[in-house]
Amino acid sequence: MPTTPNAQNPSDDAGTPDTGTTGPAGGGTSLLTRKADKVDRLAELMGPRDNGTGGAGIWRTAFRRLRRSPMAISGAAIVAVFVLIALFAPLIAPYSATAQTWGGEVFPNQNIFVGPRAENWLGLDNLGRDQFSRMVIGARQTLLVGVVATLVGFGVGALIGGTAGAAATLGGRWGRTLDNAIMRVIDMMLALPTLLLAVTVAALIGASLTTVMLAVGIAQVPIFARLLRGAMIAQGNRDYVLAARALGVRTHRIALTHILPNSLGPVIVQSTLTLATAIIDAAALSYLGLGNPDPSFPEWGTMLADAQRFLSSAPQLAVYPALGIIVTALGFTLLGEAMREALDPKLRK
Amino acid sequence: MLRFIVRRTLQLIPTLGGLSILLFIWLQRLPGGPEYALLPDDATDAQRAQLRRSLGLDEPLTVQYVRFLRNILQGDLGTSLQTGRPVMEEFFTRFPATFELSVTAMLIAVAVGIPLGYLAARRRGGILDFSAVGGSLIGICTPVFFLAFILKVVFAERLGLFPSAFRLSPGLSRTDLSGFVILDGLRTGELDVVWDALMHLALPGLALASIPLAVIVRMTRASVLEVLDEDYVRTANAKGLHRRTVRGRHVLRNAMLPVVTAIGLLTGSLFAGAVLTESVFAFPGVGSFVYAATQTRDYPVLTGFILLIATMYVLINLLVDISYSLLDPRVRAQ
Amino acid sequence: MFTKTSRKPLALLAAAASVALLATACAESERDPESDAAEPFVFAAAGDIKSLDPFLASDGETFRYSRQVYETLLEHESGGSEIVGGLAETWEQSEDGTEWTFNLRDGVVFHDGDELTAEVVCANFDRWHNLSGAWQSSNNSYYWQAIFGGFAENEDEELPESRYVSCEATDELTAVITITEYSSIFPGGFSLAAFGILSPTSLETIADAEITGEEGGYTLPDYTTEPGAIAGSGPFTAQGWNRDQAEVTLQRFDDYWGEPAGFETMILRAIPDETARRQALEAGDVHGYDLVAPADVEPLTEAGFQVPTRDVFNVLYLAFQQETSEELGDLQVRQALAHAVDRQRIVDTILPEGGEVATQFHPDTLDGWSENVTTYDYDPELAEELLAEAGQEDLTLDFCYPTEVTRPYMPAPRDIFDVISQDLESVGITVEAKSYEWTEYIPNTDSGECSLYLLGWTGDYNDAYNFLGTWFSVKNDAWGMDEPELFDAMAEASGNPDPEERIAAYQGLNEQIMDILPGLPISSSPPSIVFAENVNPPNVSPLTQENFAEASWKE
Repeated sequence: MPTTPNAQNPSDDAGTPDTGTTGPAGGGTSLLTRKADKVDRLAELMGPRDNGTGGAGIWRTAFRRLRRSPMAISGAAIVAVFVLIALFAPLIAPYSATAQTWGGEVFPNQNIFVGPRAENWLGLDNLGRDQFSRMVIGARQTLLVGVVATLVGFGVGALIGGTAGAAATLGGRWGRTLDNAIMRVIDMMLALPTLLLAVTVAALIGASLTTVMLAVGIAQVPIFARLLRGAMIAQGNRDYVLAARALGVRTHRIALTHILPNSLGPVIVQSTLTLATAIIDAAALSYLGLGNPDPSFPEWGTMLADAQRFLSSAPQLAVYPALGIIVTALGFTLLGEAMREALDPKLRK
Repeated sequence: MLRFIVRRTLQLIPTLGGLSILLFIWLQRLPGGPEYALLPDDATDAQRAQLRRSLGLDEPLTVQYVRFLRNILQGDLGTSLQTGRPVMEEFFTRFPATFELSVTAMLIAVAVGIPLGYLAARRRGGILDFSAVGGSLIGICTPVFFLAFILKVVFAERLGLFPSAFRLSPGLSRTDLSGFVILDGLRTGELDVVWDALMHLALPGLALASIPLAVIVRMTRASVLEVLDEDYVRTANAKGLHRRTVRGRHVLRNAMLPVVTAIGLLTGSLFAGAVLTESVFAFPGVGSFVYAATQTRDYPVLTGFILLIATMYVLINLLVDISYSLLDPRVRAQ
Repeated sequence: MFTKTSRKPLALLAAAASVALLATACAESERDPESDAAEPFVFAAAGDIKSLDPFLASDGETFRYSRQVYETLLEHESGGSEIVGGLAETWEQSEDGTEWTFNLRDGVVFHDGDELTAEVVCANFDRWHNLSGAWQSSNNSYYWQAIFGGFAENEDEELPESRYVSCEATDELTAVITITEYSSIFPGGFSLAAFGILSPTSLETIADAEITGEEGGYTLPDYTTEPGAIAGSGPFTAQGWNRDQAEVTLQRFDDYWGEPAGFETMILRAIPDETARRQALEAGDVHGYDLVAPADVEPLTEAGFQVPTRDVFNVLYLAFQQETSEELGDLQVRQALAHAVDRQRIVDTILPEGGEVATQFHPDTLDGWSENVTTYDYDPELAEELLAEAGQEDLTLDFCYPTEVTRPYMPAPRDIFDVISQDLESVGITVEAKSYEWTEYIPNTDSGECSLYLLGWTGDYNDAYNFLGTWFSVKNDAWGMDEPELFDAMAEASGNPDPEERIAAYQGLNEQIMDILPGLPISSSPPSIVFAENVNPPNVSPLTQENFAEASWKE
């Protein structure tokens, strides 16, 4: 996405020279795996482990660490407040977010705006609507965009990556060919400028909130696909899979009941990070005019993009949604990063 | 090594071929068409239909694609529908601007990011570390277009330190050799042009640098932390080597490997980020031209530019891989 | 190799860092607020020009440039909308309106030293008429086709017969242009910037210029990008076109027949983004720009910039597509919608100063405007009553608006949309919002995809048919309106060569249209233009056809 090249994986701790199987140059397997290598590192974290404490153990220790991390606590607190506001938005908002109740008091063409006052805590927007109510209701829309976009990226990515991963580990020679083919397509997607991807997706299905969610989500697909595939391959090499195969368990059962659940950890971490990216990217799409067609319906990205025009005469109109976006994205990023650190033995010393 | 390069270069062909087919199908499926962007609003349906015909857009997609392939083999990427000039010419008219912007952004990111990340790692848990990590997190979480606006309001409008738009001051006379303003200025000795160009690059460069800067700070920090803990560093310290030697020779060099990779990656993705930055700063580069092309449905420009950008992206990463293998003997051995 | 060089990259980095820091830290503004006469005047346009030869263009940005460099036979009066002489001092039309005699100005010199004669004018028209090949694409000769139909030899069967018959130089300074039949597009058509007259030497050099390439890959000839290749007779000469900076440089032409230009050098630069244009002006990077956002007018005025108000020459309307939504076929419903919209609030809070509520489908600056049209005042209660009478209490309509554009007639489309849809919802109509970018918006509204949509028009020349005829001359999908009587009356008015009768006919048409109410005219608003404090601005034109030669630096 435009605003955040590579922010999908901000702390690029990956690709260190000793990651073995999918090492830095990727053995020259593909031209475009570079972007993907960072993702692969995360995927591996759930793979072979010397201390071999098993899945549940990792999670338990990770959670213990999280509780002591100030990063995790502040991230979780921001996220919790945001989610609470979003859930109970209609109860919190004092007025309707769409009614231009005070429409006669604001004259953008004469530079007359209404700032904070007793009945409107954050003042009025450029069409005479209560800004506080719009911020609160907007939180809900923003969360919706983030969650759905992440789910889209996660769902489609997991399907593709899961297929590739299962094929690679269990499918024999044909499986490896299939895996190869799928990954080449994913690499191609990585080479496409993501902004264009999003703009064209939006143009194809018309501007709407759904478009934004889809466009942002689709841009995340290659990341998730790569991630899950990497994690599955790492799992596939482990002893319990070998044992299950030796016992004659059918391959699709192994893939679904053993490998997949054990590979989901890094994907969940990535999802948290993606939520932040999705919120920021949605704002960028709104800025380009591809957001929700109904401008009265508040969403922070749209509000920010819309208020840019008044930056010199009424900066508060842009600053509130901008702060909202930054703080929320920060919350998700902190939480995601803390989770990643807690899971990664290399980072948690 | 040579075989490696050749193989990697050859792999470009199927990737670009696939990409071009995808683009072709995708772009043509977009609603609307150039006939609506190129003609005034009161044009009749007949006029629009005639334009479509004269542009060859009424023919089957396969015919158009074959023509495109035939042209591309002759090194011709077609002609822009907006401007009526060859796509290649359009690209190389605008590429220098984007190149200079991206390089500036990258220089800022590297020059500030690596030292900052290194210091943050050395003083882990200190105030510097806290503010570096915090600042880079906020950097990642701020929409670029908003940051660009803030920069402009503060530094151009209020303080008047920098120009708010363009690549050069209007009417500035200069000798044009290659389109690269700074290089040309240095070669011809027109230092005022170089200075003017640098001033114009400052704000958009800073805005575009925000995300790579944040990524590099955090990567450097993580990478240095990791290396500091390696056995060979401990050994070196134990051997009583001079602290500076240890840091320079062992820590930094090894810590730089993943950072170099990231720089390659980030440079590629800067092109995408440039779209927003260029439009906010009226910086006449590839990014804003491509964006305009999506709005006018300028198919040849979109296809051509994206293929060219993808090629560059791939080549940059090839370069990174080569430098990587030069830096790291283990990769070379593979 | 490793050990010895390891510190060098670091040193380099440090050097780079310090250079970058230096560049940022000691960046002193060197711009001089004092203006001396030789300083170039920089004007920010919304886009780059398309071609140096205006004939190939159909966009306002190219025409803004070309009006300074090339002159047309007729033009609009400075600061107004009346048609006056340009290169032709006076002109006459024959009774049936098919013969147009132009008495050219004496002593007009082209930039290359050639002199203007009737033969030169005819050579220009004959060249256009005889163009062939890709020149006949509607993209490359749009206005020729709009005014004169086809060419001497049409290569595309779909092209209409040419309306142009001949041009004769009856003496040194008299050119007679004959057309097949009169239409109300004359004489306005002769004022279009696309028909800028080129010097005879230029015509010779470009006689062989061709649009090369095959279908889908047409390349414009080089002369369209080489400044100085073609000479006009305007107050400025085209000095340079830096396509990499989107910058056109104009130089004062000292032998101009009229008052010489006030600026020695004028530079046009493209800044597509509206906010970026304002910021460039405030930062002193440009000295003026066009299409000021209405919200910026007041702050700019307060900051000391000059925002002269243009007369309005456009109209914005809300269309009621009568076929897409059957309900809109009911006149009562359309009347209800008209009464439901508070147009005064749009004018008061969104449009720039000088904007006004429109009562009919063209602005009052145009002849043919009628005082006696039916008006529809804001009255939500009446609207609800009308809806109830029509049995449409639960009306659902989709309502389209364009994103990412501002048109001179439609600043801030999103806000206007927002106010209207709020008004409609408050009388009980459910509005389904749809937004499209411009390239999609036009096809969607043209083909009747939208029940309600916002659109408008800025006049090209002073004739009401340029507005009304565009919309209401035949049944089309944009309106879904079938009123044969209206269409016939429209054709009759347009074909009437007598100006006074025609204007009376237009007044009748306006009244008829507002009874039928195919849509609701919302407003006419002046597109704002702004200049720095130290500039004597040119007379601002309602048709946005400013003559920048009139502008100069303040002493």
